[in-house]
Amino acid sequence: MTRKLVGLILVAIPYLLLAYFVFWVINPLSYSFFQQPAFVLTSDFLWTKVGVPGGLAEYLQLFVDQFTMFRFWGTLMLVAELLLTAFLVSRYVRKVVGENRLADIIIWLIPAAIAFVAWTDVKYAFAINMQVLLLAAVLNLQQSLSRFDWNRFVTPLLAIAVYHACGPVALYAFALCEIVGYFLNPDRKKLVGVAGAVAVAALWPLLVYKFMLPIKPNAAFYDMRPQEMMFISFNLSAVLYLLYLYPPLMLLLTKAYGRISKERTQAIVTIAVALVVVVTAVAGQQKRDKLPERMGFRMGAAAYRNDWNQIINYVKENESIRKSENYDRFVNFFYNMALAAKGQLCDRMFSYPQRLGESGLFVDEPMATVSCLPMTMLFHQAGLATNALHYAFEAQSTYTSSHYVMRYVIDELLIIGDYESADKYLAKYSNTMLSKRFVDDRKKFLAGEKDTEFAMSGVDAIRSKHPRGDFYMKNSQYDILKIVTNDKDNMFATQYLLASVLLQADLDMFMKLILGGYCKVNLNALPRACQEAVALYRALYKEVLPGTEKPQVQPYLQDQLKTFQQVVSRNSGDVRGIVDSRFTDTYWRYYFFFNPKVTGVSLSKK
Amino acid sequence: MKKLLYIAFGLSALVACTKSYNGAVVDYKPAIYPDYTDIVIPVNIAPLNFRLANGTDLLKVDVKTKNEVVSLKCRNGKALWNVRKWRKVLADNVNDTLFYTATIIDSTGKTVQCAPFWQVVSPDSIDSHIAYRLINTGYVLWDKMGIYQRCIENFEQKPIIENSSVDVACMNCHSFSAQNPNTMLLHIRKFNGGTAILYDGKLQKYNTKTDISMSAGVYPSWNPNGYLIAMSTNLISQQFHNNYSKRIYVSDSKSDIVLLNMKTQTLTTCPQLSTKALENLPAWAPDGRTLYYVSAPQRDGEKGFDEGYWYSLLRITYDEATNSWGTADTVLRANDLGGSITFPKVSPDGRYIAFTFANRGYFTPFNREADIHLLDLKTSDITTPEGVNSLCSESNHGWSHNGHWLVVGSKWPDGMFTKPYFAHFDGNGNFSKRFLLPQEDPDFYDDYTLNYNNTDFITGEVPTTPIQWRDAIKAAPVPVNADPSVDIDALSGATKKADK
Repeated sequence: MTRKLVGLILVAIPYLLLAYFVFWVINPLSYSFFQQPAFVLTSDFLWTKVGVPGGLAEYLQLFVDQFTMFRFWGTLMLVAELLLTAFLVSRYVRKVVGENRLADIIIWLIPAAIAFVAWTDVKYAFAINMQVLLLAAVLNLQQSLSRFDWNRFVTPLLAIAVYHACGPVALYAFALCEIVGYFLNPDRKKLVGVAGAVAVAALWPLLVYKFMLPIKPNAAFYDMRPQEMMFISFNLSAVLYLLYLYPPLMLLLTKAYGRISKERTQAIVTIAVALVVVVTAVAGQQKRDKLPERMGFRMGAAAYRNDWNQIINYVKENESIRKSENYDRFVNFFYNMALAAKGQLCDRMFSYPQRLGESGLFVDEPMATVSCLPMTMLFHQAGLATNALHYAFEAQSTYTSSHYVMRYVIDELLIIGDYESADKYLAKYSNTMLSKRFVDDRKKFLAGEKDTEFAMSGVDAIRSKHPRGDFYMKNSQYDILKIVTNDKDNMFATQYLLASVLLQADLDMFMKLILGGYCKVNLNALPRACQEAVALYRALYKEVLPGTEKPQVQPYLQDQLKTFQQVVSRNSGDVRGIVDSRFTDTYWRYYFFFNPKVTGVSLSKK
Repeated sequence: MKKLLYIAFGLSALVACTKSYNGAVVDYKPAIYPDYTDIVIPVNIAPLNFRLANGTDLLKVDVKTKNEVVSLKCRNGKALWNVRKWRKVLADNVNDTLFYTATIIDSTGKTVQCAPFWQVVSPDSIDSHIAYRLINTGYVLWDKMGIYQRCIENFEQKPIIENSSVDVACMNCHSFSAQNPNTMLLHIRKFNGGTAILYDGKLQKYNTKTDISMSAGVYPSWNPNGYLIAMSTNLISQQFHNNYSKRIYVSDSKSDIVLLNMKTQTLTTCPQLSTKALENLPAWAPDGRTLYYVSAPQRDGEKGFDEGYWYSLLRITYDEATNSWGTADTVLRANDLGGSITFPKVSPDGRYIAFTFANRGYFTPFNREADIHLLDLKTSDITTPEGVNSLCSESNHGWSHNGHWLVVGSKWPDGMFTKPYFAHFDGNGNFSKRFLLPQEDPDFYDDYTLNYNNTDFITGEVPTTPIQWRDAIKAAPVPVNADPSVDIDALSGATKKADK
């Protein structure tokens, strides 16, 4: 095997690992479901982006982000972005420090590290990587110009360019690189340029804030979030700041490494660094369940595709997601939705810990843009298009051109029959990338063609589900009740109605619902959770509603309830522990030990 | 040889450019978008570029003016004016009519020459700017929004302030004193709350909530004197319909009216404006002494659908010298009209009130049936100007400072997005057909999904920068003083504190 081939393999392996990591662990689909703002092909969009510090980086990142709607292409684009960053940083380091074996492994280290950051913070890591990428490009340009005497005067201008293209933190990193570069290769001629870069870092953000741009102080001085993300109040992980330190840190590290004289020591260090990256990648894969939030996004993307089995399997395959420390409201929400879509909600809902009770069924309180898209999806499935549209509009107020949100806005308008507005949103949406197929299909539908994907998706059935009459929408349970009242065959909504009452631990209301004809249920074959609730009602209340004897309860459930009662009434030892282990999936456990009224668990406490 | 080729190519290009379309003459006018047919236009409006409305091709447009025939550039089916030429044509044709003859390819593929449509150039100039809020269609949450100003003599839009610089605060109810851009206010909600007021050359944020008001100021109206601001104070809620055509209903559980004197920075009111009924939407008459407002009976319990919950039009006088109020007087009784009267706007000559008329409530942008009506205070006649209204909601209107133009927020034609339309007023109760705010590209509105909210005329550009607004809004609010002579309960009812 030639030396060149070995080198190629050594470079290829980490990138294959990286692609594997991005594809399986980060999963571009979960990334995209964080309601990524779309990349819009209009000059207005470009100018609004580049008008603020960091805007160009955001613009380019939005371009890359579009591909995350597709797992393969998303992986390809994200990995390409990481590669380019690594290449540019490594090239810069070589230019400053000279040829050095450690500089070679930077090309491993940087993308792997950024991928790990993306794994811990799916929202911002790639956006910040793009800032680092552009910073590295400018640093390379600056190095290319270093042979010219006038370079020292260009450096402050480049610093300003970095500020506007990549944002304030990148500017500080640029100045730091200049300082480090100077100390590694002291040259009095460069001092003017270094001082200029430092002066720009110290003063330019202040000048911009005070006199040039009407922006917030954080946007001018220290925020690294993309503009679109400023509106979303998620905490920033401090580790993200470390990404900016890559270029200056790599300078120092490679310089120090270059001073190790023994070749064998150099080889050991190189292999050690490579091993650290690989081992961390493998360990990361094992610990992926630690990030239920991303799981929620991934489930959202699956729900968008009506891939309910995948959602159910996610929960099945990831035991740890049931643990209280890993609880995520959106995982709970999408799991419930998947069960309802499969007709299993009232059978299997307690196979997942419903810690927040009804709040795991409806995520509209408190209303936030991040919960509006899931609520749109819920009411779309349930058949109340006006409410789905209402939530889609609320989501759209932040995620102006999100693919997911735009598609729901358009589809709900089409279902409602507001073709004029739908046409306008189609025109708007056609300005984004990757919308062609969707737009063409809906336009054909508007033109009256019958064989469109949309027409065949059961639009008439959805329309027929819409409640008649005139009422104000009050809360999700009430709205679901209205849907069920209108169409008793709507099993999705019926399950939600029953589940919401069960989760409220309101047995009386539950019995009234099933006995009073408010919804269509087969009293001889009730879902398991409903049978458990009936058995419990009979056991708890002597004065029962008329007809309480009608619903059938399987004998084994009645026996199980007796056992449950014995365990609880014995009241010795670790009752809670026994109940948790022996009656994990039962409604009784939820009713007595687990519902939020008993546990006091609220949304803020999770 | 090469030169000859160039000349031949040039000549053929010239022939192509001057190609004449000899279509059959038809007797119908072209359907164009925006609809700029048969309208009265101000002498200082931006070019009215257009295209055909039904997607067929526009080949050629000749505009016959007093002295010449101007051929419009037709590119990609759009008729586009040269800006300089447009200005000259308007200046040369004041009080005259422009006749547009369009040659089009009709729906059958034939080239036809349509019957001409006209535009009368009015000598009544329109205020050079409008101010509005641009906002997405969303009802509970908001994100990016801003207050913008647009020069309607050209196509330039500038932000007065965008909320991205002030922590995504909600902002609205921008208001000017007699269309004067030097005297302005806007409210900021949720983050950095308060009322930012540009007054006497100074921009400052105030807290207008006092012991005698149930909330901070909401719907404002500047007195033409430039320092008194009447504002409603409201407890507002909104509800969503399952019925898409009704969509959303905004209503108040309580509301009153207060008056802020910017000279003394004092807030006052009176029992007549703080009754248990719902006083709302103040509007000063140009005399500066008469305050018009709407009022509806006190609400009891559940609001229901509020069909039949109507606001009447009232007025009250105010004497600033003595800080005294007259007696409230009903101008138009809702029951007499069979509907709700809202958003009263008094014409600058004081003779007319343009108001919105709807079948319920006061917040009517979502009321499809809402139309602009005109009350002649001299004759008490009420008319529904046809040219101003449409089958969609019309609301949030305002007069130009000379009283010859009305801007109307209309959701026509899509029913979803509010856009500003202008209509000429002849001073004798007659409006001409309205026209849409012109944009450089006639396709502009095709994919524009922001709403022009609360459009108002201003006579020039607001002399501040977004940075100044940002700094004023980010600063701590200056509290206004409650008038010590007022002794009422803040939550309506005019209950004297001593009676509590």
